[in-house]
Amino acid sequence: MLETKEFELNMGPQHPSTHGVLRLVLHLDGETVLDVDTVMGYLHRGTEKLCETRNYYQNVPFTDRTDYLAAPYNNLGYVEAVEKLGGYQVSERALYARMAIVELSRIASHLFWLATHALDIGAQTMLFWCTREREVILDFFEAALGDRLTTSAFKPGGLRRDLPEGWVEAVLEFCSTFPARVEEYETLLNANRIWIERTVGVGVISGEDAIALGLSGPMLRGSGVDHDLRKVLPYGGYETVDFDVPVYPDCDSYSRYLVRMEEMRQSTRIVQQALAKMPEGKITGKAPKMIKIAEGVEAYHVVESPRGELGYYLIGGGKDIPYKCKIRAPSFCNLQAVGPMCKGHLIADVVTVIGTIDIVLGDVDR
Amino acid sequence: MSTIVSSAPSSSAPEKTFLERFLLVELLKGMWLTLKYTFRPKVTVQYPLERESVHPNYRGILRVDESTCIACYLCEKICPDKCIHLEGERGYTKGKGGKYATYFYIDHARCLFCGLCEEVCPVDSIYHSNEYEAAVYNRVDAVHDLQILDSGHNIIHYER
Ligand code: SF4
Ligand code: SF4
Repeated sequence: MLETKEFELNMGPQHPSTHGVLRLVLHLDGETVLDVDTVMGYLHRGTEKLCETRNYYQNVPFTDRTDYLAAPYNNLGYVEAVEKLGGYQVSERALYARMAIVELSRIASHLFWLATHALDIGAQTMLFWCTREREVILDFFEAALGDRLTTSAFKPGGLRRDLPEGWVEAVLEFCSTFPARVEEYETLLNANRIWIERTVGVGVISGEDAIALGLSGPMLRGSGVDHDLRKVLPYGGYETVDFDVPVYPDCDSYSRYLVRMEEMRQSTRIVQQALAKMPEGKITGKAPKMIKIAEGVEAYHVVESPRGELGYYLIGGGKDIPYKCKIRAPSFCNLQAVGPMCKGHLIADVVTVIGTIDIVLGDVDR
Repeated sequence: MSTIVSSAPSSSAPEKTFLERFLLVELLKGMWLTLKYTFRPKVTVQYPLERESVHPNYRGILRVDESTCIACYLCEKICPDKCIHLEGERGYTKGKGGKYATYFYIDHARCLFCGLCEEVCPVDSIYHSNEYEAAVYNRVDAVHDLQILDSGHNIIHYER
């Protein structure tokens, strides 16, 4: 008899399919994964600590750099937390403009997730098609917010500048053609036998386990748990728009794929409704030029980012800088599921599992 | 509050008949779709040869208008990265009175391109241009002094 023993394999930190600088230590028996150790922190920039030394306006650009694939959503979470803290009102125009922008960012983020996830599994066409549509959305961001990736879109009280002329019409036109594109992606993937072989039954996590691990977002809804913060704890005017929350009960990568595809369609609907409801008026808001929050006043605000529950916990410091800023990053919590999801699968499936979680390492390490 | 619909793993992948499996229908459908794209116009831009123009709102490389800056230090104060350094002096130069900047440095390697400095400037002296080609060989070259900030940095355009 040949003697076999457990083998340790290092994956990352510079592995193309870890989507950033994530290191996984795989414990293997042959090609089967027994256990996974996650090593992270390579992208730690101390955002939370930095926020304690800058004032409330200066912190907005830092929040871009956490989850850079959906920067407007991070801006929204932080800015709404500051508004909660200071009790500032947002004008109706700003409210709906923000809603349209963040939902566009959800589409952009899901598109990039699909592009990279499919590329990892071997479907190269998706990369080109998805980035083509994402480029259009980034052009919208460039025109309305001033930057493509790190938008620094909002400020407490509203937006930094009004939407440019013709922007709304251009976005609506994109929204009318976009569902047809999603259908094209589905033609390529939904019934594709390689896609099915690689995703069905891979990365299974039951609804109970998902809740116990604190997962959120599509990870939860792909495991049959009907939980969306836009419905459960409506913020930013979401109670006034009509949309469905897709839930699939199969707990595997394929069902999370279906959740995200449907979410893109629903986001398109939300953008259309938000832009239709957006009134004329002032967009820049009424927050003071120097925000001062009394000592000990605290606020926690959660938003449903493309990756899940994104929370900002702020404590006022008496002066114009916060005493504490804690970010509850969805990628960080979702990353815990790597171990349980990989157990018993082959090495090749680890790539699928990392892809299906949709982590952004900037968000994990902050 | 949240309800678990089901936690039993099943499969929602589409069922296929034997004939569909045998004839690779789904594969042919996909091939047909990609084939159609071959004859559509291309969306890519051949970068060094063709350059995309950006929207006027785009926050590109920073510029400072030397003649209007009143050296009020507001931009230096608001900058979250502390990458602006300036020094002002009172006096009469260039046909105007009051305060003017004697030196002004912006380190573009540290700049966040957040636009806060542009927003606070009372005389709209500092502004984001539409230039986005900022690559340099040396970190020192990313630090722009007043003369570069005023007249723009040197961009070598690729000619066909
Ligand atoms: S754009 Fe932002 S980071 Fe850059 S110099 Fe201005 S304030 Fe500083
Ligand atoms: S804020 Fe404007 S005027 Fe004041 S120092 Fe800066 S560039 Fe000059």
